[in-house]
Amino acid sequence: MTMTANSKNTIQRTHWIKSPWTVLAFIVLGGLFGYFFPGAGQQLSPLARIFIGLMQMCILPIMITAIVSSLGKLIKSPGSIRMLKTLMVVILVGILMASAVGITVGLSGKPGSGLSQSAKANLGKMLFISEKTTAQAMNESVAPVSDFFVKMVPTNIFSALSDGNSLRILIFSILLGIAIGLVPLSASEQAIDMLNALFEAFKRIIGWIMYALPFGLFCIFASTLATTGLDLFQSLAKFILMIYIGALLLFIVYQLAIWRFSRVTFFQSFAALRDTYILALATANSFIALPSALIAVQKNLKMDEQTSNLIIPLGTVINRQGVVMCFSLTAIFLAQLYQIPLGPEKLTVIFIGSALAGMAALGRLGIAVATLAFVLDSIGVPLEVAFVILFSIEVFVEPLTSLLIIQSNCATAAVVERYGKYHADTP
Amino acid sequence: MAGRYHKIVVAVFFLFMTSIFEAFAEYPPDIRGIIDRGTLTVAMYEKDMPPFFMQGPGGVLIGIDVRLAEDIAKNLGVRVQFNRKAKTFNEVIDIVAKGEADIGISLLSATPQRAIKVLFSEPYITVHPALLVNRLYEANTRKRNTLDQLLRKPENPIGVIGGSAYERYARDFFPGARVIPYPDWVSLKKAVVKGEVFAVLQSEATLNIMITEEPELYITLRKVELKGREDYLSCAIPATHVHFLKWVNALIAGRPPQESTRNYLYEIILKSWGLASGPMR
Repeated sequence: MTMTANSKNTIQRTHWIKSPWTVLAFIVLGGLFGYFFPGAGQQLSPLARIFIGLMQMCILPIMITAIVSSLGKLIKSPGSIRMLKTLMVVILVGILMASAVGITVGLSGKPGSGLSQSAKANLGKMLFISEKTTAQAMNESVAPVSDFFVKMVPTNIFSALSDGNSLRILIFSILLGIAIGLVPLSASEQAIDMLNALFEAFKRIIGWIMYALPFGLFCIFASTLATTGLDLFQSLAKFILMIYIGALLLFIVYQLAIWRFSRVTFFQSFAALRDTYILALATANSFIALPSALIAVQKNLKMDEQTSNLIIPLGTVINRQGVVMCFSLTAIFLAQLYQIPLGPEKLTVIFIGSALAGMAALGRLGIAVATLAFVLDSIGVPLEVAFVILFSIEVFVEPLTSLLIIQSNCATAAVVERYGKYHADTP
Repeated sequence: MAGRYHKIVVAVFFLFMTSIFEAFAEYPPDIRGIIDRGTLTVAMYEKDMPPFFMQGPGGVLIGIDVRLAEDIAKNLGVRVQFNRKAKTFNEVIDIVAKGEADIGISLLSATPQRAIKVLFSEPYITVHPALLVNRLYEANTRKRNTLDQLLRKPENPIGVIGGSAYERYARDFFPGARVIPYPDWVSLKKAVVKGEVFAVLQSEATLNIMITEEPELYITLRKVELKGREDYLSCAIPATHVHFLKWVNALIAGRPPQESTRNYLYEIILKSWGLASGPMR
């Protein structure tokens, strides 16, 4: 399996505008522009929104066409069960690993113990100020577990599409993909081909938009300025730092997996996904980075199209390992803050519970934490505090979790491709 | 000449005497008593209850209630003297009823039981009763119950200051609750921090002051506003002093309208923390 011979040609010479130096220069310029001319920076905000809007426009069609066509093809080909089994195992191992990383970092870094008096006072102030804003969001999003399964099923696929409810769209796409794969007609193959063609078309649109990436990033960085009240975050600085450490650990693990299971050098594996990472960081949205991830793994890493077309969109919805790590770390942090002793029983609840909650968690972190309610309830820490804390640190943490979500799914695709191959033509 | 001079002196003296007598005669006996003594004795609960009465800079007594007492005294042209012997809020009423004080201004709510013993003025301020809930206690007992349901269960006790109106409010608001009286605000606060009681019922203003001064407690505790429950604070006046009561009512009516204590105090908290009002982001 040593295929590094032709690896040097895998990354083609790119247009100057797509060069990493151009992208970096535009980010730095954007940041400086926003810092020195905050007023003019704010004027660029509509342009930033247009750029993000164009990217978002393609997400749903790409998700649906990618999942339906790849699943349809998969069902029609032999060995599909093996591939799906491998996928399930890899996702399960991945989210449990992310949960374990969060717990380990939390237990060794102790972000919630021994806070200074002023740190506690600041945290108290933060809770008091933010409570009013988060209380409503919390009441709306905390629902019994059964509600989650009810809401998973789309009653109207078009309303799910127009709401951008990714979980419902995923369920619909999976059902349709399996069904098309099982229809034994050549017409179904044509349908798959047609979806595939649509998918390619949307990828092309994304390709055009990517030419505007440096300018888009310039506008994003020029229009987003640091928020006020930073001293209140002092009490949470250690917690945020622990999240960063956990994120760095996971980032290294994923990048090693992508490198190990693709046919390029380590540096190339990183360079291949560079734009994807930057997009995820800049927009703090894993879905916006999804199309560029698909293009990157297929074009630059030469990953198998069907595998990646299925796994990366699907994983972006349900395999959210960055969020899982954040959740288990939050649970540990709160237990330390309230001096709740964590025995093996409670640690197991956090370990398994955060993994499950992370799979169900969609949307902003401060809202998604509702899925963690059952874990926090069983270890006996107040849920509303978790809401306020994650709501407040969202701005620092979400870029990283978004990056980890998209990166972990690229890694998952790389591993599954190696161990779960289903192509008849593979030796 | 001398006799005539003498007559004038007598006449002037007589005129002077009648005018003094008439000046006193204009005052009804209840107000005259206060002016005669030159002091207004105000009964007030022995412990401080910020922001109503508390030690200001230099140990001077300040607060909303203190300001009203000083206002009354100034308009009568007398000094204020505080009688702070009352160990409970009900004792403030007893002191006033016995005539040991001219007026009770001490975070008093006009409850029917109290109104049997004393007269109550028109309310001088509206306060909002609020709960201070122990977050950990709540997290460990929630189990699909609303806060209101939890508070009605005897296993989740509610703490109040003994002999305060809140003792009765707690029973009225949450039928079936077990209400535990504590001697003062400091011990009550300790009880809810330790989780001896599930929650504390107290005026929102007092809770806000606590949050300003000890924001770290807000990690353990949280404030819950009680919608539609309002508490009116009035002055207690001895039952026979009807004219003084009417005079105090006229004075209260003439004071500038009180801002809503709720918003007012929220602003004060943010200012004391050096933050502008409004949500952070």
